[in-house]
Amino acid sequence: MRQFLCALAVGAIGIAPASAAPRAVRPAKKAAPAPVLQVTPAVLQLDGKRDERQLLVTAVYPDGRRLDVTRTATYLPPKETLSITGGRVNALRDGKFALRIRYAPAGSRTVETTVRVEARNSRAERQVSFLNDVIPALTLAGCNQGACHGGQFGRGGLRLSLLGYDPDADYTALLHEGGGRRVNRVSPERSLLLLKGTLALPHAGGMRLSPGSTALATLQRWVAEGAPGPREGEPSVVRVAVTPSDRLLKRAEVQQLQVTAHYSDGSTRDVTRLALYNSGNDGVASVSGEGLTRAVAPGAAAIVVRYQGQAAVARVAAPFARMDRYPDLPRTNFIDALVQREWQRLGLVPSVPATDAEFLRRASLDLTGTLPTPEQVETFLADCDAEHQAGPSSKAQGSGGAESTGERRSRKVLPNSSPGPSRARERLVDRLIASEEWTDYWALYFGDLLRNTKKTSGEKGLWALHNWIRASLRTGKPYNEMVRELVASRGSAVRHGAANFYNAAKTPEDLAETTSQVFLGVRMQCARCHNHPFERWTQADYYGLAAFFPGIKRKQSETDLLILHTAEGQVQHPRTAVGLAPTPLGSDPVRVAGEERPRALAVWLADPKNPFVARNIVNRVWARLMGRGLVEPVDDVRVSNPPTHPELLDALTRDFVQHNFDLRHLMRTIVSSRAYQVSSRPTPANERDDRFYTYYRARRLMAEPLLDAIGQATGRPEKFSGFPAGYRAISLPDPGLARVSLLDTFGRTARATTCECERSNSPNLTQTLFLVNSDYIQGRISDDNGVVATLVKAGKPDAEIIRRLYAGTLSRYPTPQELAAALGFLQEAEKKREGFEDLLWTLLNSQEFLLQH
Amino acid sequence: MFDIEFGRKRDCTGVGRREFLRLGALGAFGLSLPQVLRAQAAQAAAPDVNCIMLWLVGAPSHHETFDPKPDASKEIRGEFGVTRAKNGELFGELIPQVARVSDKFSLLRAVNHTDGDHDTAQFQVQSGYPFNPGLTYPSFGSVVGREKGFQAGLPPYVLLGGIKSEGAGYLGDLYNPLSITEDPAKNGFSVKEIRPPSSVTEKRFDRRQRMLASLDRFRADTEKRGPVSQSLDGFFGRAIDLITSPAAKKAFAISEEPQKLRERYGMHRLGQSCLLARRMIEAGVRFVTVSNGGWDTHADNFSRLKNELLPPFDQAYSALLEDLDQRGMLANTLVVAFGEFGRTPTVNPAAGRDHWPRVFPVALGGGPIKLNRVIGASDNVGGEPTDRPVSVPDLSATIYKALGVDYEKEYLTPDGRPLPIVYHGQPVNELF
Repeated sequence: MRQFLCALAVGAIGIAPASAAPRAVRPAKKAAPAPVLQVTPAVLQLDGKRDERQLLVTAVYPDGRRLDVTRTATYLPPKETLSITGGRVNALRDGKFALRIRYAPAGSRTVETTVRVEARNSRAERQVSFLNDVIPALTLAGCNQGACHGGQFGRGGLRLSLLGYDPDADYTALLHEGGGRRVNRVSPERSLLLLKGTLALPHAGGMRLSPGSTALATLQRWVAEGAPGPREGEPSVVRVAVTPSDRLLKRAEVQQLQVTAHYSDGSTRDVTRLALYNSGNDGVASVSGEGLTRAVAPGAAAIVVRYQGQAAVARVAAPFARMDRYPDLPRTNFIDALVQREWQRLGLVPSVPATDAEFLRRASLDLTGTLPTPEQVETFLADCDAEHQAGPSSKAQGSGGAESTGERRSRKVLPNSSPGPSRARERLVDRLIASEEWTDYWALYFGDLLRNTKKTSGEKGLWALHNWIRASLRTGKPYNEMVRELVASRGSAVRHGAANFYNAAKTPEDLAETTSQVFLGVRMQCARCHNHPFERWTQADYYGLAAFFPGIKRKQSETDLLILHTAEGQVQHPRTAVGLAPTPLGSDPVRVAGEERPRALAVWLADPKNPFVARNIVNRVWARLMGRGLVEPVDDVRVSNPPTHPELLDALTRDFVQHNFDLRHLMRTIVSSRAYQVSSRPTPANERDDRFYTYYRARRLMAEPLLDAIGQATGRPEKFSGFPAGYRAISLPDPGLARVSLLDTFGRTARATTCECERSNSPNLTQTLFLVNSDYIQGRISDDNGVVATLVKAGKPDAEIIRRLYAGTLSRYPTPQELAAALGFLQEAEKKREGFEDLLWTLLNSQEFLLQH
Repeated sequence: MFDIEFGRKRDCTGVGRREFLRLGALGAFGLSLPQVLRAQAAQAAAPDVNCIMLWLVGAPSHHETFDPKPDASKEIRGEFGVTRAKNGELFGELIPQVARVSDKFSLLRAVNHTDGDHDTAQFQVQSGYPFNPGLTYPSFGSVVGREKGFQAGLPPYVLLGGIKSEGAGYLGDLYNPLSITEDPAKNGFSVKEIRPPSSVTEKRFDRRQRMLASLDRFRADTEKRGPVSQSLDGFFGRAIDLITSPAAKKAFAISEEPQKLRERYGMHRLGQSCLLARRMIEAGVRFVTVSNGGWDTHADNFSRLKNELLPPFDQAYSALLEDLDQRGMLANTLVVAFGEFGRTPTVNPAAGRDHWPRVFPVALGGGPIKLNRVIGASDNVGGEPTDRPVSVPDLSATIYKALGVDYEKEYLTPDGRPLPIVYHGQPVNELF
């Protein structure tokens, strides 16, 4: 490909070599408009013999299209001034040069531009820095990665810190351990480091330092210079930046990245060749070790660039389809504007809007974990009917056509009415989020998150925290206030439910990890043992957070547990053994009296300016309602795991904070959007989308709502031992208390980890066997007091019973065809009641029942 | 003999499954039947090889089992002596019965990798790939399931033993094992889920299925509802196959085995699970993992091996090999016994041994694998390979080759990347 382009480039300016393939010189149909060349940086300053800078050359076409031509352009520096490979420029001598860059696009005229280059000290060899040269070389060669010498125990006796986070220890390991043979100052070439890395001696890790590589050259020079160690006060990398940071590519198109490291002394350095590159989504975009990324398939990928403990991300996307005119889609609120912007960018079109019945079932399950009753189905659909008949409201304009209309019993669908946001839906949402079931369902969610169990808090503590969560939700306590109370609470754990926060996690380390993952969405576990390999968090950050908690004490009495915040205890850095001041993540140390430490953290967490807390809960709630987090996993926020829709996450967060951390407001905003109210049925055009919300992501009902739904639909709700009749699974303070195998089979959580991923919603064979065969299901279907027996006893007409069973399970009425088929099967049954039971079995086993859709 | 004839008449490809099982049960009584069965097995042109994997979770010490170092110092050789196995090799003295059947398997003594963490090493050994937090690679059983599919209504991959094992990863939920959590050593063992409730007659069950096929509109539209819908649909089909399969019912009826044979396997979970595994293979399951835990002996290595771990293992593993051989099933059943790594050469102050992935043995026999071989060796403390090291991908390639799976075949990951079943692995050709 590259050769092909070169041939074209040369051909266009009329000096085509004879060898140019005839095929390559395609006659242009008509002269395409010529692009303009754009070069970054516009002025290039080189300082030092080894200073090397990556140029990015882009051909910008009049229609706005951009093409990376860094590797296909021709570089024409004045003679013997600069050496250039792949757009990387290195000075051969000092001076100011004009570097001409020429590009010959296919089908239009050749274009050219000039870049000014200033080179200084081009012969001055800088002393090799252990911190800023040797460690990056070891990292680049892979020596200190987790699978090799960077592992917990090292390899073959040599242990290096993971990706070089501990230069002092690495220096000791290389110079003083291993019998001093690893680095030989007297005969540098006999250093084991070089002999093994180049495979001159056997090395289990294979060839790491190939001849001619930058890493080998750096290490050789370092050893030759006497292998100096880390120097006091040396500048360190504080930030890396990658250009371009956001790029839309066509399939198979490439883009060179350019990476700059910013140092603590304000200096910068081009580290394009030294950084590590990973694609967050290999299937969409690949990236080479030299920072050349290539679009492989439609979608979006984050290219993660890491250098010296810092990370940056370039977002690369490739459209699903090219659309010259994008349809004008209706919007409810800012969510739609921002979701649609991505659709438009990527050439994605959403599925049709969900029907009213679909919306009822979906919103009821998402907001309250509860299936609508047949009565609610009837009321809501009648409400919608009335509104549709009164004429389309201003908000009910839609672009999609209505789907199957079986839900609309005994009425004609108005030809121009289309489902979508309506006042009836708004009223439904208001009713749902004001309901007791809303409190139940979200209390279950927070119970999971806070790991509220009898095992850790005892019977009384379990109930105290459960009741506190419920009261907080019911009264609409702002979320930041909930967090503040949890962390600041002290005293009787029976009277102050929130104080049981200190039961689920007990040691300062556990509390640091819990606080961080649950409230900030940051996984700090890595930094317990070493600096986080994908993130800026260090061990100092980890133990700085743990330093809020060493004073937590528990005093157990016969009837109560006292949570005490004392001034005792201090947390030390495990490597340096220096005592650490309590420090919130990414913030300055806090100076407070020892017993006030947790409160100080609580104040920081609850501050509306806190950069993590609101964002994280917004992302978690979004993930619950939309089926996928804007950041996924929801509790793994890091630079190298960027959101799919950064502006949307920002906007949602801002809106949530402006509305005083009101969870109900947040949920109402999300479910009111058209993005939420789209059908779960993908179209051929969007079925390959898995993260842009072009269709609602169908998912299996969670264990507790499923148990309740089966109970409600069969008219035989579960009776939990030790709880009054009518108590539902979503209301249990700890679902682990219920001895119902269904909950285990369908993946309830044991509330053992701080990860939402502990709950499993994936289907398996055992679940299917349970639904098909278990006495549990059969018993409920055929119960003498169950829904079938009751309806048959009441002598209702067959069609009425069928409609009722449909409404109670699928939250819709049967289509005429379904009704006819069901009546037909009913004729086959020896006993009518058994026929209805079989219909109920069928409905419970149907995907339409098992899925939230 | 009548049964065999009857079977042939019913099914021209060989013995019908149901009949085959009856013979299997009879085999332990009759003297002549083993020969008959062996003849049956030999008749099949290219035997389709299935697998029983004894998955010793926590990692057994190689010093006390397949690679003792009697000449090393006390802190290395440990507290036990050795026994001379039938193949001439030295085994730990606490597995005498396994030593007596050492001609029914071969040993790879220098398998090695570099991961000393249980979870990630288990993952690696079962999948052939180093652990990757971003992509879960499929394990042996799932790959075999995907390649060989369902047979006689039985799922291809069954997990016994009650300990979680690795699953299907990116191949999708459909290829996860059917996990039987009940303990077959318990009285009245039965797998209730595979029978419809007693009040539902066959006719009615059939009607229910037809109703679902006709009324579940999502199912009719499966392709259009995304991956969760597809897996639900897949599982439903598998469930019906399993429920309606006479072979399945029969396979789980372990009580039909003669008491004497049950006792030979051992009346404990491991023993009965091995026996059940044999029945499942006979019924058509492709891959049975029998998981067995407790091997992580950081402390009290010796008393725990002696009192808890080795006697049941010795009994169950040797019985399984003997029984399979007697039935002629070893020719088409690969039996693999191993853990995720070995244990440290030096005994620690708690009389335990810690994690040691640098060298450990894997026992495997059956199918096309040559028996009675010992390939590779560790050094004189059992610390490093000295001969014929075998990497994890090599081991995977060996197992897949024995099972007739094309290990170079590529699968597509959900994000569209082609990945070979085994990456950079070569089978140990000395075993073929």
